[in-house]
Amino acid sequence: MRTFLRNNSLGLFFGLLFLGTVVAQSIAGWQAFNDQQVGERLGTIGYGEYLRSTDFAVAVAENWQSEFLQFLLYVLATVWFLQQGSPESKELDKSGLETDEQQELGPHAPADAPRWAVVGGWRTRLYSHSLALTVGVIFLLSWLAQSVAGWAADNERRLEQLRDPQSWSGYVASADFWERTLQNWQSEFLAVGAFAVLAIFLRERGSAESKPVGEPHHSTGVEG
Amino acid sequence: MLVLVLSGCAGDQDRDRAVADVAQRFQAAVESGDGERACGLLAPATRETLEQDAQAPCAEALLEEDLPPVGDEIETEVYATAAQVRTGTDTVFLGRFDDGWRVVAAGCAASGDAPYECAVEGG
Repeated sequence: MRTFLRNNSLGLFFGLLFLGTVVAQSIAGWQAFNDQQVGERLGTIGYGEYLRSTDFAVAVAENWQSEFLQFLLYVLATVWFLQQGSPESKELDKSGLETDEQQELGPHAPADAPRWAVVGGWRTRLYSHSLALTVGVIFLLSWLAQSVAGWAADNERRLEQLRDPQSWSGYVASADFWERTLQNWQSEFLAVGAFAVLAIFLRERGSAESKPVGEPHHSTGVEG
Repeated sequence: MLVLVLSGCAGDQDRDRAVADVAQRFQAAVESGDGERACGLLAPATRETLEQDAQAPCAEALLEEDLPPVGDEIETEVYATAAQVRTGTDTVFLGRFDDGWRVVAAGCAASGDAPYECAVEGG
């Protein structure tokens, strides 16, 4: 048990953080929603109803879609793009999909390689892009969820303002949808870009995301 | 989460009927001259604004407004705690409170994409 916890501490740590913060977000969001309702002299709702509300759904979905878009673009961009000196980049001579030998495919695969890395054909092709595909699907689904939940939440607001509700297609062309989308995207792209560059010059001893403390600035693709 | 959102947005026919029923009962009460019953179906803020503007009790002030008669061509839009009911004769906006759906605004005329201009509405 102790070994399991130690060997999975990173995933468990962030998993618990996620659960704690999403619960805390739901409570804060419920209070903020009801506060707004009171301010507009409208009815308030219970916590259970808030958890099922489009207001909560859009608040969660708009953040999920941008995180998974960040992962998707980062996974794909680091195939071809390089950042000299960054531990987040591949070495400067390794841009692109690399050779089968470098990627340990087929006859170059170790004995304990994933089965689909060895079998060849469409299975290996699919498995070779399974990370981007999975993250991409999660991004698209959560962006779709944001659009649907946001549409309903925006229509609730429009009705409270004594305005007609609008269609889903009207909402996805609206300022509210794109403001929610772009405010999340800009922060994700800033974080990734800044981190890739900061890690050239700064160090965090022992972190897998940092170069070793004594590693030169120009050294690329080294983590420790 | 997507399933939850889509199933929630699929609509609730019982809820839509309940909302439309409140709007039509309000219209019927006004049409029959029962100001008290109609005021009982108004949202608290709407009732207060009406009494303040008219400087008269709600039941009296409401019947002074030139509100349309009952309509039966019902189109209902409900999103969480807010609703709009078109009855063919009027467009009525409702809100959900602890004691059920109540009329927030009535006697409403469209004004492009701007808010409807309503004879009766909250401040």
